[in-house]
Amino acid sequence: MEVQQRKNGKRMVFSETSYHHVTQILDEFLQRSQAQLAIFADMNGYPVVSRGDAESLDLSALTALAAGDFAATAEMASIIGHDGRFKFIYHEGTSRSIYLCTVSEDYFLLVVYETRVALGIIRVLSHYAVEKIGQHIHELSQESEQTQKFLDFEFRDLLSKQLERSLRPK
Amino acid sequence: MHVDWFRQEIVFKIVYYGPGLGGKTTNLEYLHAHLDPQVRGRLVVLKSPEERTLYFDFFELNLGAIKGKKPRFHLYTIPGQQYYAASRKIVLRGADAVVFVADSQSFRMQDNLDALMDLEMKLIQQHHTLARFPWVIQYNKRDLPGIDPVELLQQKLNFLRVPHFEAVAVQGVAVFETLRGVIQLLLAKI
Repeated sequence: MEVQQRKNGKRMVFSETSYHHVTQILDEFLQRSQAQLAIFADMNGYPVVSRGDAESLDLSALTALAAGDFAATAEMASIIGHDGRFKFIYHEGTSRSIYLCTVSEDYFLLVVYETRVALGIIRVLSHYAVEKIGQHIHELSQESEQTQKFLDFEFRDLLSKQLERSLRPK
Repeated sequence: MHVDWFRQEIVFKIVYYGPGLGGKTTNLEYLHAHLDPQVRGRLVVLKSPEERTLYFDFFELNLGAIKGKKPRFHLYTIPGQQYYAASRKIVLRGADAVVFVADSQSFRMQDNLDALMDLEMKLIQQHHTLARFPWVIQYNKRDLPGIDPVELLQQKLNFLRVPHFEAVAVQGVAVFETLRGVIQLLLAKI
């Protein structure tokens, strides 16, 4: 039941343990690949873990667009008779490029790198990183009951008051 | 929603749904333009050459830390036109609450009904239903001639008696109220 809820996108929970595992994997990936930035994100567009030089990038906007990218190309895949999403999406720029690959049905990896870094390196090393992250994905499905703990009554009450203050036209 | 215990973040996804040219993007654009820059992220608008929403519009609302926890709200619109059904399904995936933006003009009633049925079908595909899902309805374009009275709109569209708002999104009327309303409803229903 919990796995079903997760697949429906109802509740995604990420623990400290999961965060540390993925952080370590992404740090190792960046060190070996010389990529600028690596983000582990969910297919709803939420950036779960980001490592590297994010400068002043709007990571939420970046991963929302990347999730849309997967969604759009999944439809393209369907039109040409391919079942499911494409595993990799690659956008080549003159100075920087973006490499996207699926980690699971619910998660993907986004890599930003300078064009002096060979695509082959990024592909091979991201493949290893994805395999390692995949070993920790199962942890995520067992943590949904903790959502209620996060949203305790006091927090909800304070949030409600904060919304009344902040959501006003300036 | 997404809960990140390590960063003490909780992210909610709110989707503006409704018929094409109903004012979904106008709602988001007004909110973004009039919110404190410190609480809003970049506004992403993906429009076709005809100024119609192609994929979605998006921005993040970040209210800062409350009791050490950081709530964030991801606001999305969907493309309203019939031929973007696949995009709508994808954007709706994982939504925690919906604002249904109805066009009050009489000649748009069937479009409103079609969009509402489309929303219900897509929610059912995600194991939800309008009867149990947090959503509000906004009757937009209340300043135009040829609009239906609110009583008729309520009767035809709001059969579940969810909170409703009478809006003129282009002028900002009830735009903030609608967002506050849907978030409060969401918090109450969790």
